[in-house]
Amino acid sequence: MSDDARTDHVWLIVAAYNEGRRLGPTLRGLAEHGYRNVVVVDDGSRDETSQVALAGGAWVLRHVVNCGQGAALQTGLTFALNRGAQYVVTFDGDGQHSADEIPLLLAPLRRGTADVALGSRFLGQALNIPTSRRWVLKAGVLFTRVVSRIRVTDAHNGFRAFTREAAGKINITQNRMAHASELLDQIVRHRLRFTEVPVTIRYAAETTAKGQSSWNAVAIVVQYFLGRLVR
Amino acid sequence: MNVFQWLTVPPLALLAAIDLARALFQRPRFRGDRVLRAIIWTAGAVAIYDPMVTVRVAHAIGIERGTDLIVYVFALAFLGTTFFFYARTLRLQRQITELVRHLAIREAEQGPPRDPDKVVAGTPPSERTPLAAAASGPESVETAGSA
Repeated sequence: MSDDARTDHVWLIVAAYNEGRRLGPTLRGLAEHGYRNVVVVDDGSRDETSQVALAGGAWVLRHVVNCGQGAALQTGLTFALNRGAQYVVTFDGDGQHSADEIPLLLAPLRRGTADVALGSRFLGQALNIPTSRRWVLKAGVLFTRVVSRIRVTDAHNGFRAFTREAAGKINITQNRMAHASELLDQIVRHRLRFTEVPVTIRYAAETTAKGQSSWNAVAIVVQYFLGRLVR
Repeated sequence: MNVFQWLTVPPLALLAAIDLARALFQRPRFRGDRVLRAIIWTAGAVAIYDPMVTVRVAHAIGIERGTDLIVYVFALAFLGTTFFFYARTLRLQRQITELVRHLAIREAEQGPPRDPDKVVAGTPPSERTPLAAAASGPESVETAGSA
């Protein structure tokens, strides 16, 4: 188990929508690693996500209507900062991420060499990733490098860590999946120092089915550009 | 004028006059959108009253037929209107998100507002609805467990 003093100022944000079945093991994993400040943002789920999160000892923030992952993450960020978080980690509730790797993301922030640490499955491992998903993600990386002018190897990885100062500058307005690109834009705009950290992402048949389809990528690009136009 | 022109030109002219008068004379401030609307009503009235006007305008800007000009204008207007309403919807969505976020954070920090139908005064925390308890955060887990 990690040192309490080192985990107490770390807040984990888990955006969850109908994750009642997968959320329990994720929260148990985080608790086993000593993370006590876990915020589950239940994004208008119709299943027992809130109850599972509560039973897992998490703070539960409930969106009364489904707003999207970007909106849920921003809710979690705002809440964690209000509670005095020094480091904020965004973590998937469906078991794709590993709690073992949280210290790896936090290390550059603790050393003071970066404000934001971005997990990269392409520097690390993407286990059981479908081929089509790999190519869509690679296309996303190319798109991000051209449009957002940021050199990353994995543009849409939900496993990230922020210092308090960096998290305070982030303001996600893209409610849905285009938030990942918006976040990178804001890192560039606010000149935040970022680093990529190799992480492992585990794909399971269930999570792949729930995740974004390849065709959705087109919709995300459209949402991203329209969202940039509307202030 | 034919029947259609009698039915459409006077109302359009009236709408243009009303919008123009409001734009110019109504206080506290000048309204550009009313002028734009007055121009659109006027253009519609003129085009219906004398269709040859659209032909002359079309020729003046290198378009063969007046109807082509109308189609092009409508296509552009459709795109513009679609974007206008998309932008309005997006802003509304952002406002709703702010509201939802505010509620979620407030409930987590202070507990949910009391609903007399669900929470009877004096009900111990352990007997409240799961959702009401859920929104109160980890402290309520301990409270519920010890009750």
